Amino acid sequence: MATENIIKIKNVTFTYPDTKQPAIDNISFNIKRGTWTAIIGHNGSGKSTIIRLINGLLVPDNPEEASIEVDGFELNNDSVWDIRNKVGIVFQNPDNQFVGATVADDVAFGLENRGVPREEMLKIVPEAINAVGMADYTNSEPSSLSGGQKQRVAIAGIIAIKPKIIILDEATSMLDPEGRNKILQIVHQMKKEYGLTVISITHDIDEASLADQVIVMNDGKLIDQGSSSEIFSQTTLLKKLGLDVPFFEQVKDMLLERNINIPKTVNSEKELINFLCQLNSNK
Amino acid sequence: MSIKFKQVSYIYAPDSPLEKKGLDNVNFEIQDGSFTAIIGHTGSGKSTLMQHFNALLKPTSGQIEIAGTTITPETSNKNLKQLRRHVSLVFQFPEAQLFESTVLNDIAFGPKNFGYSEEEAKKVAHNWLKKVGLPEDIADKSPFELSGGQMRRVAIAGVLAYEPEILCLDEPAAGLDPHARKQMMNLFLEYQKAGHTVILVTHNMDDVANYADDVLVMEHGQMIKHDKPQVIFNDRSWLQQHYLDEPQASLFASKLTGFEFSTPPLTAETLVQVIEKNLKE
Amino acid sequence: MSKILIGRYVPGNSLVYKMDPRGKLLATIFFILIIFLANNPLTYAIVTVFSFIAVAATGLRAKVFWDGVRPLVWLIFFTSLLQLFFTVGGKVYWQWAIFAVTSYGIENAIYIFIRFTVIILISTVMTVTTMPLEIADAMEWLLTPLKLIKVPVDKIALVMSIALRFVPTLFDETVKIMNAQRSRGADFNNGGLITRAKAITPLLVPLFINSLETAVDLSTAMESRGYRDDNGRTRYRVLQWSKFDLLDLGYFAILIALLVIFRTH
Repeated sequence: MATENIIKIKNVTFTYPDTKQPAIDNISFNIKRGTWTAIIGHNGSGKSTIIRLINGLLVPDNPEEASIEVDGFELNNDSVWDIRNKVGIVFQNPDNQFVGATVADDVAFGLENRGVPREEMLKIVPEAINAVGMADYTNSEPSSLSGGQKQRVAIAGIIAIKPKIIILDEATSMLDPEGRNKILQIVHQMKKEYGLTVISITHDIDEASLADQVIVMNDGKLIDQGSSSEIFSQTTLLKKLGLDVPFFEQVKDMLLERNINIPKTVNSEKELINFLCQLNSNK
Repeated sequence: MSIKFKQVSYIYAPDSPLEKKGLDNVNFEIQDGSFTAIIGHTGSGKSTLMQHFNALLKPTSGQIEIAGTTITPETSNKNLKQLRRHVSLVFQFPEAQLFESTVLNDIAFGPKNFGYSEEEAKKVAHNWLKKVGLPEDIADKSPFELSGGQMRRVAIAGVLAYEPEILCLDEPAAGLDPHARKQMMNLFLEYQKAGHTVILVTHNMDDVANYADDVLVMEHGQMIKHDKPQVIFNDRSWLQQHYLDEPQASLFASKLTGFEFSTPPLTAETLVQVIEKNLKE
Repeated sequence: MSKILIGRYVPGNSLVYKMDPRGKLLATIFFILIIFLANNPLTYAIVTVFSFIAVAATGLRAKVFWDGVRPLVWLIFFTSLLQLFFTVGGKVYWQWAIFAVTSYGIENAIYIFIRFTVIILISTVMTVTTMPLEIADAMEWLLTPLKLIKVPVDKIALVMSIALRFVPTLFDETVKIMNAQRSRGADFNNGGLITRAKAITPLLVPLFINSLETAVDLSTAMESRGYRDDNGRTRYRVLQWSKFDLLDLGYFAILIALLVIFRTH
C-alpha cells in the first residue's frame, strides 16, 4: 500500500487556446502515496498547468493517449468530482480563494458544495479551524487577516473535506518569511496526521528541499525527476534553467573551484559542515 | 542633500476607536547615493515609513527633509509634483499599476506627467525598455499580453524613466523566479552606482547583505537600529532577540565549529574566502 | 468612501442587535409602507414617537443617526420648501408670483419633513445594527418565493455575499493603485471636471483588470473546492428566529393599529 502510486500521469500534452507552444509537452510521471513532491521550474514552465490537469480544471489535448489517474480513479467527466474530493489546492493569491464572508463560512464552503448536513458541518468546521491554529479568528472577516492567516484558512477548508492529496500552488510566494514558515509547518503536521500526499509547486528552495522527490520542469517538458539531493547537486543544470541552487551547494561549488576537495558523498548542509569541521581540525 | 527624518510620528485614524501608531518618533539621516535597506517584521512600520518619502502620507508630527523639500504636517497636497519627480516609490507587485494601451505609452506616462514632451517621453521610454532588459519588439504590444515577469519590468521602467534621485522599492522581486530576481536586484544596484539613492524595503536578508550599504531596522513603529549591514549582522543575539533572520552565509558560518571569523561573512564569496583561509593556515 | 460602500454597521449588543435580520428587514419595509397611513397631526406624532423609541432601543449615540441623516439634509429641506411654496389651499399667508405660503403648504411641508426624516432614521436603525452579510441573507429569504418561478435565488445570494466580501479588498486595491499612480505623477485632486475625469483612467483600468483576474482566480478556486452548478448545496450559515423578533414585529403591528384608528377617515 505504501509504495502504491496515488497519482499516475501518462503522455499528457496540453496547449492553451490561442497559443502554439504546448504548455505541457508529453509528460509522464508517478507520485507515491504519502510522499512530498516538489515541482520546480521558472515562471511559465508549465508547473501550475500540471495541477490544473490533475483535478480536471483543464483537459489534455490528447485524451486518447493521455491518462491521468488519481487514487485509483481514471480522470474523466464522471470521476472529476470524486477526484476533486481527493485533491485540495492552496493557490498563490490568499485573497482570491477566500470565498466566505468569515473564516468559518469559508472553511464551510467546500462542505456546503458537497451537501454535507449542517449538524456535521458544525462539528467539522471548528475542528478544521483549530487544526490550523485559527480558533481565535473563527468569526473574523478576511479583510482583517494577514496573507499567511488567509492561507491557513485555505488549508483548513481543505482538511475539512478530508482529501488524500494537498497541492500548494506557489501558496507561500506572496507571504513574508514568518507566514511562509508557519504554512509549511502546518502542512507538515497535516501530512503526518492525516497521511496526506503533498505536492508543492514552488520557487522557494527551502520549501523544495523538504521534498522526498523533486520534479524539474522547463518549457512544458519534464527535465528531471529524483530525490532532492540528486536534483539539487546538479547545480549546472539548475543554473542553466534559471533556478535557485541551495546555499550549501553554492558553497560546495565555490570551494571545489578553489581546489578544496569535497567528496561526492557530501550531499547535505549538515554533511558539508561536518566535512569542513573535520578537515579543519585535521589540518 | 541627504534625507533627514526629525522626530517623525504618524498616527492612523486619529481620535477614532481604530487609532493606531504607525510611526513613533523616528529620527535618522540617509546619505546621498546610498543603498539603504529597511527591514523589520510585517506591521513594524516599514510601509508607513516608505509612504512618507514622497508625502503619500504626511507626518502627524515632526518633519522630513528630502530632495530639497521639507514635509511637515501642514504640507499641502497640492504642488507635490516636484517632490514626486525626485523621489519615487515602487510598491509591491507594481505590475498592477499598468494601464496604457502599449508598453511604450505606459513607460512614458510618468515622464509626461513630470513635464517631458511627448517626444522626449517616448525617447526615454525606449531607452529604459532596453535598460531593464526587455526586447524592443514589445514596445507597441499591450502590457497585458506580457508574462508576469515582463510586466514587472515594464512597471519598473515606468518609474526609472524619469530618473528619480531617490528610488524607494517595496519587495520589488517578490514572486519572481531566482534568475529574474537576480537580474532585477542588479538593475537597482546599477541605478545606485549611476549616482542615485536606492531605498529597499525587504524581508530578504541575503538581498540586504548582498546589496545594501546601510540598514534601518523598524519595530512597532520605531526605528530600533541604523547601521552598516556588517555591524547589524555582527550582533547575533540582538538579531535573535528581535526575531530577525541572518543572511545564509553568516548562518552557515555560525554552524562551523573551530573556524575563525573576525566578522560574520555576509555573502557566499566572503564565506568561502574565510573558509579557505582557515583551512590553509 | 469606505463608509458608504461597506454600509454603516456599528458593533453593539443592545436588544435590536439580537433581532433576526429578516425581522428587521420586514419591519423596515413595513414601516416605509405604513407611514403613508399617517394623515393628521396625531398620527404623525405617533409615527415620530415610535421612530425615536426604535432609535433609542439601539443604545447607540445620536451622532450615528445624525451621520445617517446628514448627507440627505439638503434634499429634505428642499423637498419641504417645495411643498411649502407650491401647495395651494387653505389660508393664504404670503404670496409672490407663483409662490404662495398657505396653511396646507405649511402642514404638508412639516409632514414631508417628518416622513423623510423618520424613514431615514428607521432604515439607519436597520443598517447600523445589522451586518451587510446578514442583510444579504435576509434579502435572500425574502426572495425565496421567486424560486417557484425558477429565479436562481441561491446563486444571486452567493454572488451578493461574495461581492460584499470583496468590497474591502477592492477598496485596499484602489488605495494601492492610487498611491502607485500618484508616485508616477498622476494628480487626482487638481484641475477641472474633464481633467479629473481623464486622470481617473490610470486608476480604473488597473482596477478593472485586477477585478477580472480576481474573478478568474476565484472561479478556479471555487471549482476546485467542489462548487458546481447543481443544486444540493447545504448551508452553514442559517438565520434563526428568536423571541426578540416577536418584539419588533409586534411593535410595528401596534403602530399600524394606532395609525388605522387615529387617522382621518
